[in-house]
Amino acid sequence: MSERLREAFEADRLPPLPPELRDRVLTSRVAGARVILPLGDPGIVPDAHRGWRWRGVAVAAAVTMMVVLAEGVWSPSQEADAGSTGGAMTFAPALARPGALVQVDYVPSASLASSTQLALRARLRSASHPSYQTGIPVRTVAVLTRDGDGHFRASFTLPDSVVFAAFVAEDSSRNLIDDHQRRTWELLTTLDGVRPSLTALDQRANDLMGRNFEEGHATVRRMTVLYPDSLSAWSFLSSFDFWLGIRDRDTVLIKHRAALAHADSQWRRTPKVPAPMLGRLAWYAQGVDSAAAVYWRARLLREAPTASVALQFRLSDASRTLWRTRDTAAMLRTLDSLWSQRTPDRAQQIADAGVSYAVATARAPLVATWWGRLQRVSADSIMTAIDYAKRVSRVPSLVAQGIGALRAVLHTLEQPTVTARHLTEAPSQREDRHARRRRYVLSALGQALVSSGELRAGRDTLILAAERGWDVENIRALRHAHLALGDSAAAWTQLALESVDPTLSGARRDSINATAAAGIDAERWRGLVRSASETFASRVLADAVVLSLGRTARVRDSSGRESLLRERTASRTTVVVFWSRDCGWALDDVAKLNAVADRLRAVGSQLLIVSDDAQGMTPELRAFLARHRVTTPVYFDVDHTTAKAFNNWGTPYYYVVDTDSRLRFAAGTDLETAHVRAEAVRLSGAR
Amino acid sequence: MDMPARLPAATPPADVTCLAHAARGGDIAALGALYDCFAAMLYATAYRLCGNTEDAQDVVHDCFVGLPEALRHYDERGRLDAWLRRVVVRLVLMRRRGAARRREDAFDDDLQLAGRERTDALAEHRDVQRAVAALPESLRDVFILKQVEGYRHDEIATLLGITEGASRVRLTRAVDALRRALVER
Repeated sequence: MSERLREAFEADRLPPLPPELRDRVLTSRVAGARVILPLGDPGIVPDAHRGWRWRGVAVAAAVTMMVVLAEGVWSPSQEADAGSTGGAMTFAPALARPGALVQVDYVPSASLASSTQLALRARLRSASHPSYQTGIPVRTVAVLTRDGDGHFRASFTLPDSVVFAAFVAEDSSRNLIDDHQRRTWELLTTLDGVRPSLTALDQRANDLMGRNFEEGHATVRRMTVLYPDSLSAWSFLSSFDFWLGIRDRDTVLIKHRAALAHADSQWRRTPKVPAPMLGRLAWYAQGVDSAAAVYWRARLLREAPTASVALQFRLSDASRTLWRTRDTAAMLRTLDSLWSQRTPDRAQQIADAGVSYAVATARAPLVATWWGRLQRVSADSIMTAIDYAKRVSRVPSLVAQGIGALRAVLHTLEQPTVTARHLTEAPSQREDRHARRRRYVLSALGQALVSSGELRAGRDTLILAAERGWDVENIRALRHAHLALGDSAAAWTQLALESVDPTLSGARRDSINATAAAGIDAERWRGLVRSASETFASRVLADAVVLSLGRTARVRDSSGRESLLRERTASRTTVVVFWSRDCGWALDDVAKLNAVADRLRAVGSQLLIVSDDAQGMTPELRAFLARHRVTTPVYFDVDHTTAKAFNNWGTPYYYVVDTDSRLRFAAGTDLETAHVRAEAVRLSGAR
Repeated sequence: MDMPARLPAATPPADVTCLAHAARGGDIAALGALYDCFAAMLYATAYRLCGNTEDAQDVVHDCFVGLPEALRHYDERGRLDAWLRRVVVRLVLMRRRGAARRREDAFDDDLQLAGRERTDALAEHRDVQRAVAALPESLRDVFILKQVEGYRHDEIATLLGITEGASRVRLTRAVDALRRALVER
């Protein structure tokens, strides 16, 4: 067949090169047209990074983690680099008063220069919008029209409530987007006509969360310079300093202590401190001055127990009590109380915890109550619904409820537009993300249907979910459905797929091998496993990226010796985990770290822990690791270089680096998934 | 601004490096000469990957319009034709993201066969072209680059931003799919 194939594509069998093309090329060139050609490798450009860190909140809500899981933290794009020269966008006035008429002047990028009109899209933030980009409205605010000088111009009226906006320009197909190399163009509001307002800077920093450490840090520093009396500015700076691992430095701490002392002296003798100020003082004092922290926390809980920060403290206290007592009913009573006193910024956090613990009780009315509450306050209703439906459908007594919820979500997902397009996202990327959401729901629904005895419907649903991606639970459920329906050939194929999953326990692997030995011809089984192995690698790697980590990332080992990260990862596929002793999610994974590290080591790969302890290997950390029998080497970030290289914003986050020290999978929140990915990367390198 | 006079079709130059030097310096005649040398080859590559004449022409157009500046990065120790082909492949991949154009059924374009007798062999070639066109993009790219353009798997992996293993797997799948498609006809 090869000959037939080659012959069919001989140049003389293809359409001829039109003679007029030559003139078109030379005319374009003489007329001044320029195209920047993609000369490098087609670099895979990550989407806006969506690592998550709750600003000032220690316990991240589960739903947020699910968003990261299902959305894909980095969405690989096959965009070739150097495709166009960048454009330039300016606003008049450069600082706008709320409600102002704003003139926009855009000098187009090469890729947009041939358009006659462009859409000006914006992410519009008001003073109360939270950190990160989820749930922030994105709108087309104006149509940019090309003038005779090649510039695009438009004007629009800034809504009164907007204090900060991030802009991109895009063509009519919505596929060519100039997003200022993912930085976006920005407009900040002002109240005095001279300085950007405090809320504008605050929202800019919120918008930069998960996208750009340095710019976010610079923004909050500017807040403290322009508004030195703002405790919220200092508190935000303290959070950034902590994330950057510099808060404990003397030069940094001394500034924070001075700012706190100033506010403390102003408020301590005041009998009636406003609730928001009490909250700021109590929150800011943590990590700056322990004695002041105790004082202000006590006053906050006594004088303003329903303030936002007080609710956060009370929720954390309740969680700690629950860990000790395991009394879910008491926890739910506390959550009911917190819910009745909720503030808008804490409502989702409380409701999400309520759903989690209600599901644990398996009591349908309780689940329905908390789910209703969560629906009312969720920032991303679709992802919240998916997460809820999946959680509920796993509880046997709630399966019917879960199936109903999953079907409702699927019904909603029939409209692709329910997945809102991010500011810098092309429609095709949005469609990919939407398809991922749909597969995720299909898999959960299929598994729920199978477990409830609806085998045929379950099998068909699981087959749809299995079209892409790798989900061993889906594979198992599909095998079970095939078997129950009498299709043994299809069941063997699924069993072979399961057998190559690297997270399989030894006992399960032995069981599969024994089943195969007894039930199928050895040669046929080997063929199925070989094919399954290829399917595994190709499906997992379909979502991989190839991204250079640069040569700046440095780590320090437990003895204080520094080295380049790439020296630690060279020649071995590596799972890098950013980990913290202060993070509940990271602590939950401790027990699994050793087991996964052993399995990785067995195939020549490795696990590398990067701890966020700024002090390095302290006696406390050493004792902790010993107590939990963590034998995997622990490293410490040097000057934040490693977190910067990975653009890591939280813990625990798992990254997969290949033998050439290139990042292949970024910011997963699940250790087993990282294990699966590492094995796929290793297999691809071994072939 | 004066429009360029139509340049005489150049005979293949003895040393394309000289032309590349001249084109890099802005010599429009040299650019035309490079076009005459390489456009047909690049157009074929672009057409195979794009699957339609419109996109293929745009790719060749962009390639030559951007060539003078791009030549500053050309390592003269390498072959210019191979370098240009890689640029064209990247341009195609870049355009894929840049413009979601509806794929025209270019392989069904009878004009390409004008003047030829519609023999069984030609019909067969058209069947093959159709079968390839029907492949998923990810498989078609690998298939075309390997089987038609002659790239190695490691080169394909670099061009497409995938692993060498994935390239092999995709090729196997493409060939299997083509076998099935052609046998079923």
